Formats: sequence, C-alpha cells, structure tokens
Amino acid sequence: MAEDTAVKTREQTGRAQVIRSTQCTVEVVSDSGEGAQKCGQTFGAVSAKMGNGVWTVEIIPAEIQPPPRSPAGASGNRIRIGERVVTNWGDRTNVCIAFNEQVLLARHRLDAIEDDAILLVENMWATHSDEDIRAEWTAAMEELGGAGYRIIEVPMEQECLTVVDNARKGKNMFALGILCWMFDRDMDLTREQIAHAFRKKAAEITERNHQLLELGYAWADENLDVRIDVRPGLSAENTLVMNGNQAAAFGAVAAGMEMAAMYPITPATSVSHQLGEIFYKFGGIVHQAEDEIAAVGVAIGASYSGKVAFTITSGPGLALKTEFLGLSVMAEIPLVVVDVQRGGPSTGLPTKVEQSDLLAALFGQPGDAPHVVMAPATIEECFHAMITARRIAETFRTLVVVMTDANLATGVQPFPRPTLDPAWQGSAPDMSAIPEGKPPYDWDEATGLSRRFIPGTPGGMHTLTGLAHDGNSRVAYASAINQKSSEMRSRKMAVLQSTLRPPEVYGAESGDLLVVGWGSTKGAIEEAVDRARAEGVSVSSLHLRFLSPMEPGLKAIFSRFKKVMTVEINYSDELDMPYITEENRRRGQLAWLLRAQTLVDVDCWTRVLGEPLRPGAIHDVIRSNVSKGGAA
Amino acid sequence: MSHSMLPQLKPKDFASDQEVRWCPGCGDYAILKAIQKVLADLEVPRERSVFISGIGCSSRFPYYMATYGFHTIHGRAPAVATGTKLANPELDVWVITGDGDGLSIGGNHLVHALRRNVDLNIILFNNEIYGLTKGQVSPTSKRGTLSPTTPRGSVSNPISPATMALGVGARFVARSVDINQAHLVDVLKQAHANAGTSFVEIFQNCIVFNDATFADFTDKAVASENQLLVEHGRPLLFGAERDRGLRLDPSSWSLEVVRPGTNGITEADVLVHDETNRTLATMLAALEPPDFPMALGVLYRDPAPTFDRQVLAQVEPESEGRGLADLLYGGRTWKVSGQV
Repeated sequence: MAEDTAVKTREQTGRAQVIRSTQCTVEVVSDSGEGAQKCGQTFGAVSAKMGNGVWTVEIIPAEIQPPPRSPAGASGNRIRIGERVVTNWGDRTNVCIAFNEQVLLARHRLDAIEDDAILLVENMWATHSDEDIRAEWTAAMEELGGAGYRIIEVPMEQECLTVVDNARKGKNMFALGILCWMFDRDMDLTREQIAHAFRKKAAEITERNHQLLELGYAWADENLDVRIDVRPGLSAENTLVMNGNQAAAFGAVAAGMEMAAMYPITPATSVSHQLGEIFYKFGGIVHQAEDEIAAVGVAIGASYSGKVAFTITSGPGLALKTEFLGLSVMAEIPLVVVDVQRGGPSTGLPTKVEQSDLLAALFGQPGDAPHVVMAPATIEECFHAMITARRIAETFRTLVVVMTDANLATGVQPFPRPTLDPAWQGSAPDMSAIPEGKPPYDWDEATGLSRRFIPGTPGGMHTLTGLAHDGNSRVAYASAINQKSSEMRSRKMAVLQSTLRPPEVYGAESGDLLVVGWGSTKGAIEEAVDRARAEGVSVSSLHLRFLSPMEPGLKAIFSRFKKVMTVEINYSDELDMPYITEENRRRGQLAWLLRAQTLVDVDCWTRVLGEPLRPGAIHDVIRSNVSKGGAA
Repeated sequence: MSHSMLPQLKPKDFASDQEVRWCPGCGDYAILKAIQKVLADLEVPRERSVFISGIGCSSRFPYYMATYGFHTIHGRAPAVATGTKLANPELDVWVITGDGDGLSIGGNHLVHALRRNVDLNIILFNNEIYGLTKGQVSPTSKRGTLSPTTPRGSVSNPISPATMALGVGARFVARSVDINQAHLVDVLKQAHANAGTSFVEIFQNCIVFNDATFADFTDKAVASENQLLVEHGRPLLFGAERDRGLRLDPSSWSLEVVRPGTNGITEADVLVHDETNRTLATMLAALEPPDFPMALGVLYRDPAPTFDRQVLAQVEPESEGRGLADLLYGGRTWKVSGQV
C-alpha cells in the first residue's frame, strides 16, 4: 500500500489522517467459531457492492474446533479491495483486526503482515484473570511490537457487553463497524448485507447485529485517527459476487446439467451445498453416494441413460474414481468431473490450495484413456467451464475433467453477470428409433465421433462394456480391433484440439521471459508481470485453459522468448538442493507436460506453501530469472 | 402402449446373437434361460430392460440378452444401476452380480442400494467361489475351503447374503436354486413385480471350481427333504411327505424342527410363513443343512416407497419463474450505482 500512497488530511473531522490507496488488504482473524469469517465476508460483499474490486480468501484452521487462543487455530478472512478489478489475494495484509493476540501472532509468523500494517487487537487479554494468559499477551505484544507495526488495542469485549450478554457472539459485528468507519463503507448497504446474512435467523439477531455494527463504527470514530480511502472505481454494471464453487454450481445449472453425484470431500463439497439450494428447482438431483467410487458410478449410470451428470471431488476422491474414469473413456459415456484440488499426496492439506493433481488427472487411469482436462483460471471461468465441459463431453462422448482448486473454490470475487444463452442447456438426447444394423460405436473414421444409444431407444439394444470392443460393442477377440478402437478414441482429442485457438500472450509477443501458468494463479502471475514490465523487465505470460488436449501454437509462441518457465503451486526440486541435477530434477507438473509436448527446455518455479502464490514472490522470480540469463 | 398391442415375444427373442461362453454345465445357463422366460412371459419391451453387471462369470450375463446392457467394472454395478434408474425410472433395471463381485469388492455398493430401496432387481449368483480368476475363495466360501490362495483351508467365516440383505434393510429378499427352473422363474417374476430393491440370491453351481458345494440340499436325492419352499400364509412344512415343520422354541428364541403328529405336536404348532415378518425371515435365512432345511422362495417382502420415486418427487421443477435468470439476476445480485 505504501508505494502508491498519497496522504491527505480528512477535512470533516480535522483529526483523522486519510491514506489514499489504489488497493488495500484487510484480514479479520479470530478463534474458530467467533465469526471472523462472517465479518470478513460481509466487508467484502459490501465493498463489491460499492464498486470496489474484491478478492477474498478464507483463513481456515485444519480442525473443526482447535483450542482457543492458539496460533494454529487462526480462522478468518483476507479481503483485498481495490479501485479496479482485483485478481488475487495480494502479498501481505495492510490492516489486520484480531480477536486475540495469538491469532495475530500466527499471521505475523506466517509473514502475512506488511511491515507498516495497522493492527487492531482485542485487549481484554492484557488484564485477564488468568496469569498465564496475561503472560502470553505480554510476550506476544513484545514480539509484535518489535516488528514495527502500528498496533491499536481495542476493548472489544468491554464495548460489546454494553449490547450483548455474550461478547463472543458479537465481536465480529463490532469489528465490522470499525472496518466500515476505517474504509468509509456505505452503512445502509452494510445493514442490508447483515440482514441478508442472518435472514434465516430470528429478526432480533439482525437487530442486535445492527446495534453492534453501529457501536463499532462509533467507537472507531471516537478513538481512531486513521482512515483508508480505496475508491470504488468500477463502472456501473451488473455484478455477481460468489466463490468458485458457487460459480461452478450455477454454471452446472446454466449448462443444463441434471445430476451431481458426490461424496463429501473438502474443499469440493460446497458445490453440492450450493446446488442443494437451487438444483431441485430445475429438476436437478444432488446424490450423495456411499463413497467416491459410487459417486462417479452413479453419474456414469445417469449419463448412460440420458441425463447430463457430473461428479465433484478433490485429490483423494479423484484417485478412487480412476477405474470408473477409464470406463467412461472406454465405453464413451459423456462425463464431467470437477476436481477441486487441495494439497496432497494422501490426505495432504485438505483445506489448502495446491495444483498437484494435474498429471494424475491426465494419466491417472491405467491403460490408454485419452480424455479432456480443462482448468478455469478465474472464478468467473468456473461458471463458464461447466458449460464448455458439458458440450465437449457430449459432442465427443468422453470424459472431461475440470480442475479448479481451493483458491478458486473459496475465494470470492465480483464478476459481470453472464448473459444466459438457452443454447447452453443443450437438447434432449436423441431417442428416435435406431435403424437396424447400426452399430453402437458407428465411428466416423475421420473423427472418431458416433451417436450414442440410450436405453429406452427402440432398435438400439446392445451391451456396453469396459472390455476392449469393436464398433458393435462386441468383445475384441481379434488382434486388430483394440488397435482400431484405441485409434478412434484418441482421434477425438485431435479433433477437439483442431477447434481450439492458440492462447493469448499477456504482454509483448516476444521477449526475455515467458511465464506459463494454469488455473487459479493467473491473477497473481499477471500482476507480477505488470509490476516487472513497469520496471522495464521484458516479461510476458501465458495461461493455459486446456491441458489435454493442449491449445495449439505453443511451440511457436515459446520460440519467441529467450526463456520459458512455468509458475505453479506444486512441488519441484531446485538445482541448488543436495543431489539435485538437471538429470534427476523433478519439475513442476505443467513444466513436465510442456517439455514433453514442445521439446522446449521449459524451466519452472513452484511452491507448496498451502497458500495461493503471492504476486510479490512471482515478481522476485521474474526479476531473478531475467537478470540470470534471460536478458541479453 | 397396451400389452395386447405388442407382438408376442418368446424367450428366444431375448437371446442376443452372441455365443454364450460359460463352461459347459455351468449353472449360469439355467439362470439365463429363466430370465429370458420371465421377460417373455411379462412382455417387457426389450428396449426398456437394462442389465447392468460388474466383473466375474455371472457379470458376462448382459452380453447374452437382446436388451440394453452394461458390463461395467468390478463390484460397482449397483452404483451405475442407481444412476441409470434415477435418470430414467421407466427403465426396468436389473443388476447381475456374484458372490465376489457383490459381497467382496462391491459389498459397500450392494449394502447401500439395499438400504435405499432403489427400484432394481439385484440377482446375486452365489457359487461360493471365484470362477473367472480360477478358483480362489470368495466371501461366501465355507470355512476350510481349499483354494490356490488358501492351500491349507480358509479360516474366514462366510457371509450369508440373504441375512446380510435383511440386516441392512432390504424390503424384498428371496432365494432360489439354478436347477429348479420352475421355482426360479416364479421367484424372479415376484422380484420383478416388487417395487424397490428386490434381492434374489441364486445358489448356482460352479462345475469347474466348486462343484456340488450345495449338494446337501440340491441333490435330487435330498432336495425334497432338505429344501423348505416358503410361501406367504402357508405353514412352514417340508419333506417329501411334508411331515416336518418349523416351530418357535420360546425357551431359546430359535426355530426347531418338529414332526406334527408325534410327541403331542400338531400342525397348529407349526409356524405359518409371514413374508412381512423381518424377524422370521432373518431366522429362516440363517437355517442350513444338516440340522435344518435350506429355506427357498420369498423370505421377506414388505414394500416401501422406492428411492428413485422419492428423489424424483423432491425435484419436480417449479412451473413458474424464470429459473436461473431469477437466481442470477435477483436476490444476492445488484446493479452497482455509478460513483467515484
């Protein structure tokens, strides 16, 4: 924030200093269950409604109810707001409001706080009756004090008790009031947003929350002397605010999908929660199966008999589904799988972002199982990806894996309302009588495409199989049959690839360095590229939406840059690590693919920190790579 | 379409043109014949029947039917069938499985199909052995079974499929034998008529890897003595002369075999089969030779609303409204007012 700060004095009070900034990052953190999430979400939503760019990230402890006042239990929200569109969570926070000093300490130790940040912290712990707690407070404040932050103690408990009996249930709205004063938020909008957030609760709760909001606002007006001015700079247009999982759910409805079969798994489950609220209105079914395998089995069964079905999962579930995914490819049954990636392997980091499922999604199925893998790069794209995925799955009678991640799944961002197109809904499956003798895999020799026979259709009786088969779906006992049917299934990928456009380069069409990404990292990469270009660095970036088949023209684009490297949220070795050589180095997963596909010596920089990449970190990587060897 | 308008179909009309590839003498042939007869007798349009199977000898069944079929993956047919039925409840969906497919690798899916009461006919061919992979023990193999993977005898206890089905809440549980064609056809027709999951365990002889494992109640010489053919409302009598019956021993809460006309026991002491009595069905399912007869027929039938009908009743699309546009353009969305 400091870089583009223009300081001016606030005329109205003659007291508060106003910091003008193009963007600002705010965090609200508490123990789990104290409502920091709701405070942060409301602040984000109000900011979006006012016309600010917004990106929010959930700060989630891995446990449901971690011990109180523990750094591991920090729970809450990061909200980055800007004058213009915000595409990622930023680097470090400028303002942090904390319900105890331990959760604040946690953020400090994670290097999440900007050096000149303003920290507001509940100070009831300083005078707590428990001696140990007082000692913890003192130690924590010493550690934080040494870092040079501007720390403001807030008597949250004391203030809230003037309105409620149990301050634990009210601090979040008090904190929201403080933020509303600091950022000059529209209070009518805020009251409206609170009423909406608590619409399912008793009216007194909304009323009480409004009182707490105003209390916080008044306290801040009385006691604080700094405000931050991030002007809403977005043009007036119709906007939706939602996270990527919600966008995928709405996208599924827009795509005319009819069944979501799932098994609960973090961080994918909330897609089904959103669908649970709306899907039935469109005749859609949310089926919670007995396990991950059954979930995809039910989706395949439904697709087999003519419904548009998909399944949602995350890494461990994707692993379990692999045999069925192979069946969907082999029997050519349209299927959409949404993989909301989390940290892995095994149970990994269930609530945290990672992009480590790419190769598993492409090659996880034993045997040769050509299929489509797509990756939306923004929350808005999570919506549209479902429509594209459905269309591809049906047209090509194949499996489409849509890869999002925890960053897209839980991040909230405003985006323009889509203009619905009835064509997205597709058409009812063709169940007109099938002429005698027409085989169930009547492959077009050139494209591998064929009409699917849906049970109930007169004349189409046949048995689909996961065994190798000929065009009549008869088990392949002759040697040439498997070669032929493999060729037909593979051909479809080439046909799809021929319909794709080469990806757009962000920045100049040639230069010293090209950064290639996929999925949720787009915003952070492009912000880093912007910063570096503003400093005169010759860098561009490129973001892939299709990983299988890959978009065309990559080799030609790569050839215009001195160096090409991927930036990904998965693990890779670095050459200065012990034992690591060019020969044994394990690279980022996209780098692996691009090297194989293009024969270009693609480098990579990857991190698995359990958090989205910070644009500042990518910026450092760009600078060091251009100065190292890219630049002439 | 009224049935009278349909051309009369014969069992052979339900046979596909594919060569049947089970071992000569396999019990599966008899089951195939019975199901083809059932469909012909019921005049079910061929395009409306779907046979879904997993992996194993039994699971090759769909290839031989001139209906729709889907030979899926090992153990997972109930999941695929659940999706198929949910997507089109007008279809007649059959699951063909075996003791390994349905009770070992696919046990979880079978359990959940049964407790949900999806309108499926699940036919489990129980031969107490893995045939396709050449003779390993299955979850229904008797203790002591010698097999390539248990060369010194199996020490695992077998699952009783019918008991398990009753335990997880199945609403229709029946048993029959491959070689008793008339009984098999009758039981399968009743299974088909039942709305909800109809679970039928068929004792099926594997002539190659587990021959005669059911001989103690299927051999001609002992069949009438050791089979109890249950019928709703009729006394639980068995034996060639129907001279033995089952009575509840109140001191042990278990069934005992009695001979009416001896020791002061009359026919009135013999239990009458009540197919809606789950406790009785569970007791019957657990009986086995040599001390008891093997109970065959419809052990339990107590229909309940089916999963598919209930799910679909919950998702009737709302007739009014603009649908998605309302959701996306109303409520939580707004027009940002121009301000800078």
